[in-house]
Amino acid sequence: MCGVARNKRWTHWHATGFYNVHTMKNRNAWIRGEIEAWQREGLIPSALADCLLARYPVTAPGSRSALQIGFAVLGALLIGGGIILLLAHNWADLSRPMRTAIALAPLLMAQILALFGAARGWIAAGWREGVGVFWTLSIGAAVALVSQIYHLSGSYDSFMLTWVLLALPVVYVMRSAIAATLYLAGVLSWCASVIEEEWPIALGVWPMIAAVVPFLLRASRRGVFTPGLALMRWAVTVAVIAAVSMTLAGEMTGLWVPLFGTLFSLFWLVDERFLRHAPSWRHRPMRIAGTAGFVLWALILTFEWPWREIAHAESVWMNSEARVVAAGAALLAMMGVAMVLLIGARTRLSGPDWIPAAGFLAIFAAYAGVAQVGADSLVPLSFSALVFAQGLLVVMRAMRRESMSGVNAGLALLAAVLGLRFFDSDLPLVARGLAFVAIGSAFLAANAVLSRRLRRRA
Amino acid sequence: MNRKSTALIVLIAVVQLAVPAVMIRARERTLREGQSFRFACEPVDPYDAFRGRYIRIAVDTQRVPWTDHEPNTRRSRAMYAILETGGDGYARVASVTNRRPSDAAFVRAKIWALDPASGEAQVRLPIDRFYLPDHEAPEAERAYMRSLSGGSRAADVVVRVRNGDLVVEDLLIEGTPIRVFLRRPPPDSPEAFEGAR
Repeated sequence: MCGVARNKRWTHWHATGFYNVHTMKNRNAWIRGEIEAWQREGLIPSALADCLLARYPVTAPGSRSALQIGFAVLGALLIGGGIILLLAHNWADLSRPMRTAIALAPLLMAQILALFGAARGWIAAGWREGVGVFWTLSIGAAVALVSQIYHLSGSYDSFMLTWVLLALPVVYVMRSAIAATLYLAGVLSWCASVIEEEWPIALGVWPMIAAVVPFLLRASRRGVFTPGLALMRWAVTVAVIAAVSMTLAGEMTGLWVPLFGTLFSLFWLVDERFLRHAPSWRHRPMRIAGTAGFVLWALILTFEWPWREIAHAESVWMNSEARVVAAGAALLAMMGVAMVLLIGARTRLSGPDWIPAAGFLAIFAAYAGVAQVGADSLVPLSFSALVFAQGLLVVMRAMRRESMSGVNAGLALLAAVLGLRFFDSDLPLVARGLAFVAIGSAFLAANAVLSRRLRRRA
Repeated sequence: MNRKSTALIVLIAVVQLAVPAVMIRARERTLREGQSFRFACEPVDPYDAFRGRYIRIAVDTQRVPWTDHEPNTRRSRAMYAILETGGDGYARVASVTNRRPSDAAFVRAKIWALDPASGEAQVRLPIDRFYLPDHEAPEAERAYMRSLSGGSRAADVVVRVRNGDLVVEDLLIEGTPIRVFLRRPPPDSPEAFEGAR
C-alpha cells in the first residue's frame, strides 16, 4: 500500500514538472516531496514539516527552469498588456452588451485556466506565475473596460483600489510572486494618488502591504528560495520604504531621522530572524537595505543640518496634532518590534553587527536629546565616531575571516567618514591630511597582507 | 484535484466577476429607467493608459445653498446634489444636502468648495469623461473648437439619473450625438457644399 502511494507520488512529481529538473540531481527536491506527503498523510505535524523543509531549501532553479519562468511571465505580460490596449481602443461600433462581454472575457479565461491547472495538478512555477500575471492584468482590464463602456467618472484611486483588492487572492491561489509584485506596485500607485487629499485613507497602504507578508513568511519558514520570491522580497522592501516616506516621514519636521534609522535596523533584524539561512545575498534585500541604509543614515547624521532641523521642529509643525501623534505612535511601535527582535537575536550578533542592529536606539536617544535640549556639535561628532567604529570592526572581522571584500568594505566606510569630514572647515588641514594618508596606507597594507596570506594558503 | 483549492478558485472567480457585474447592472438600470438631464460642457481630449482616449468633460457648477450644512465638514465628503432643469432646458444643481432626498432627482457628489459663513457649497458632479475610439477623440476636440469659433453653443452632455446614480448617455456637438457629428463631412468640403445645395 505504502509502495503504491510512494510510486504515485513519484509519478506526481514527474508530472508536475516543478521537481523534474531536480529529481535526479537534487536530493532536496526529493526529500521535500516526501516531507510534504508525510504532512498531508498526517504522519507529522505541520510545525515539524516546516522545520524539516527549512533544512532542505529549494534553491534557485537551474538556468533552463528560470528561463521557462521568465518566458511564461513575459508571455503573460505581453498578452495581458496587449488585451488591455486592444480593449482600450474602444470598439464603439459594437453594441454595449457585446463590449461588456468582451471586457469580461479575459478575466473569465484566466479563471478557467486557473481551474483547469488546479484540476490537472499543474504546479510548475512557469504555469503558476504566467497564469497569475495574466489573471491579475485581466482583472484590471475588466474594471477599466466597464468604466470605459459606461463613461464612469474616472477617479484613478478608486479604479486602482478595486483592482488591487480583487487581485490579492490571485497571489495566494496561484502562489505567484510576480502577481504579488504587481499587486504591491498597484498598492503604492493607489497610495500615491490618494495621499494628498485623504491621509487617513492612505494609511490603508499598511494592511495592504501586510496582506502579502504571510505568503513570504510561509515560503521563508519552508526554506523556499526561488527567483520569483527573491523579486517579491525586494518588492516588499521597496514598498515598505516608499510607504514610510509617503505616509509617515513628512508628518513632523525631523521625524524622518529616527523613523528611517529604526526602519533600517528593523530590516536588518527581520532578515536576521527569518532569512539568515538564505542561499545567497539576492534573497536578502532587507539585509542589504538595512546595512546600506543604516550606513547612509549614520553618514547623513554626521552633518549638523539634520540636528538643527530637529532642534527647531516645534516652530514648524507641518500637520495636525492627530497626524503627528499617529506618526509618533508608528515610530514607537516599530522600535518595540525592533527591540523584541534584537533581544531574540542578541546571542547571534558579533562585533560590527551590533551597530545596524541596535543603532536605532542611539539615533532615537540623540533625536530625543536634541529635540529637548537643542542641537550640539557633539552629536554629529559622535555619529562620525560610530561610523568610524563600524568601519574598524568590519575590517577586523574581515581580517579574521580572511575576506578581501570585507576588508575593502570596512576601509571604504572609514574613507567615507573621513571624506565627509574633509569638507568640514573647522578641522585643521594638517589633521585632515594625516588622516587621509593613514587610511590610504591602511588600504594598501591590509590588501597586501591579506593577498600574501591567501597566496600562501593557495 | 484538491476540492478545497477548486472551491477557493470558484469563490474568488465569483467575487471578481460580481464586482464588474454589479457595476454593469446598476448603470444599465440607470440608462433604462433614469431621468434625463442635459448639461452644458467644455470637452478636451486626454488619454488614460488603461481605458483609452476620452473627452474630458468640464461641467460648470455654481455655488448653491447647502440646506442642512454642518461646520467642519471635510471638503471631499460625499453629499447629495439635487438637480433641476432651468428655463433654457439645461440642468443645474439647485441645492445640496446631507440627507438622501426622497422626492427629487439627485446625484451623489463630492464637495468642491465650501463657504461656512453663507452656508453655500459647490459640488463636483461625477461627469468628467466620455470615452471614444482613439482616432475619434482628437477629431471630436477639433470639431468642438470649430463649432465654438462659429459662435454656437457647442457641447452638451446628456446624462441619466436614478437613485443618486448618474450615467453619461451621450455627448452632443451642436445638438447632434458626437459620433454622428464626426461622420458628417467638414463644412468646407465639396460633399458639404453638395449637401447644402
